Amino acid sequence: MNQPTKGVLVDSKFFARRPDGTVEVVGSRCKKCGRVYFPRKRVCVDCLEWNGVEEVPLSKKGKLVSYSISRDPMRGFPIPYAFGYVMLPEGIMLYSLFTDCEPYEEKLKIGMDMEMVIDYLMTDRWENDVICYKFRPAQGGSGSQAA
Amino acid sequence: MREVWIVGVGMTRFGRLSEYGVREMAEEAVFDALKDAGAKPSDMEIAYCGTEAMGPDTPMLVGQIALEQMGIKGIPITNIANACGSGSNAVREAWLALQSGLYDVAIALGVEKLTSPHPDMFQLLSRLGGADLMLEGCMGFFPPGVFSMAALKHMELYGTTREQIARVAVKNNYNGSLNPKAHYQKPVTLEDVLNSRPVSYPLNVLDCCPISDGAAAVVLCGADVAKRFTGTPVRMRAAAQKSGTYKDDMDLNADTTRRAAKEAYEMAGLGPEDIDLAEVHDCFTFAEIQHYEDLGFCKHGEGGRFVEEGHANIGGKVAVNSSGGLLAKGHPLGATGPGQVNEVVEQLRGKCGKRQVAGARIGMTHNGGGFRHGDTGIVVSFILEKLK
Repeated sequence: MNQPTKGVLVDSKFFARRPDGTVEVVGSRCKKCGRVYFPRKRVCVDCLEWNGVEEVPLSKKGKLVSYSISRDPMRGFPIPYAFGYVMLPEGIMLYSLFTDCEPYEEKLKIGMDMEMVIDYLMTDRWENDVICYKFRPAQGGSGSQAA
Repeated sequence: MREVWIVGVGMTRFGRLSEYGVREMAEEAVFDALKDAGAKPSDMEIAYCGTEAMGPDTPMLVGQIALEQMGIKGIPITNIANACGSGSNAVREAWLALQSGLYDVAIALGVEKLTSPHPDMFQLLSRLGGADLMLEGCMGFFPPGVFSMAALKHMELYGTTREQIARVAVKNNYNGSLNPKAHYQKPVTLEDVLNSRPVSYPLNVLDCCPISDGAAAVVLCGADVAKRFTGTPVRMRAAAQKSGTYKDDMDLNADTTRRAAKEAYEMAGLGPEDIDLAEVHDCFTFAEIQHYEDLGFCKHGEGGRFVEEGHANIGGKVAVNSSGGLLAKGHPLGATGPGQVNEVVEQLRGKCGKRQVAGARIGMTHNGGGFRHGDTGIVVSFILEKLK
């Protein structure tokens, strides 16, 4: 899968762009206690030091907590589309759309390993491509295709 | 703690009320509640209005405008928007005002106009559910999806079946068929539910509550001043409220209800075994199964069997959603909570006709609202008791 680097980020607060153009999902880590937050904060609510956190990329692998398959045409996506929660090793649970796993009812299994990709999400009202993270079943092996 | 009694309740029918605006709905619910209490508008000392105010037909100052229709004005009026829990939040604020000792008599109104021919309505309805918009709303998140995910996980962990989940719709639509104020008043079969249009796997359209208009009102007072009124009073034993903790713990939407129920039981000095009937937030069929467990009516993982074996029926261990619940009675967001209080009060008074829960002494409400990061944004729970 060729992952897009161009395009508008769905919300720049959730991502960082690297010098080579690639995109990563980022949170905040407390410099003192190491607690990781997503979405990012500027202060750790335990240590209470303003700007006492640093940017940290989130893990790109996780386990599928649960999922569903929407057939609601009002949400702006071709139906059916699949979505759910993925638990990352650092204890962050991410809501996500799922890709590369049709037919969804057969390919998605609670507890399975998932990996993050950056993917086209939609076209905005100014005709820009909007990009976002999504998850797909882990492809195994090197995992080099993961974003 | 001051003893607080509910002395009057009133509500409109819930449904697609095309001839009614916010004013007309509030007028009817407040009139009924005042009449029920034997109270005048000028007896009200403080008022709260719960409304998510989502519709283009709902003005700012909705409480002031709606209550003025029945001559309630000049007193403190506070509008509360807290997703689907707005109305119960209003009732609880009224209870708190009476607890403070500053006021003796209060009215809580819930009102919502969700059906409208206005072109903006479609956009506004897509906001329903109160998700964190940038994070989840842009990625196809919608309310049925939340309980679908929770349902699939429950099926995987505990072997809950699709049929057990659909039984909730069969039970609640049957109860709704006995309630002249319900949005839907026709029984449905298990096959109807299983064969209805798919919405969010594994849930279908008959697993989802309708979008309704409606209003409901509650008149409360200190027990020490209740002799001013003639309505048959009901004692408020508990009024608990919690918000989510968003713990990233895979415990989808369950924890907030558990914490609210614990507080309600402790405040009342009662336990789940004491509850004769409960109006719970069955926005989707599976939600009700989860609530049986989190309110303590059965053990964790046994919610599917609880409904299948009839324990949630009128005449079962706990009559759950004797009104038809959100699934059949309807879900006009802000009016839903005060609507639940209406049902429990009328049940404890023995006034529910064909759907009466025999010998009901203690009733509970559970009203949730909004989703954020796998958790519920607000849960309010009341425990009400019949006076001997």
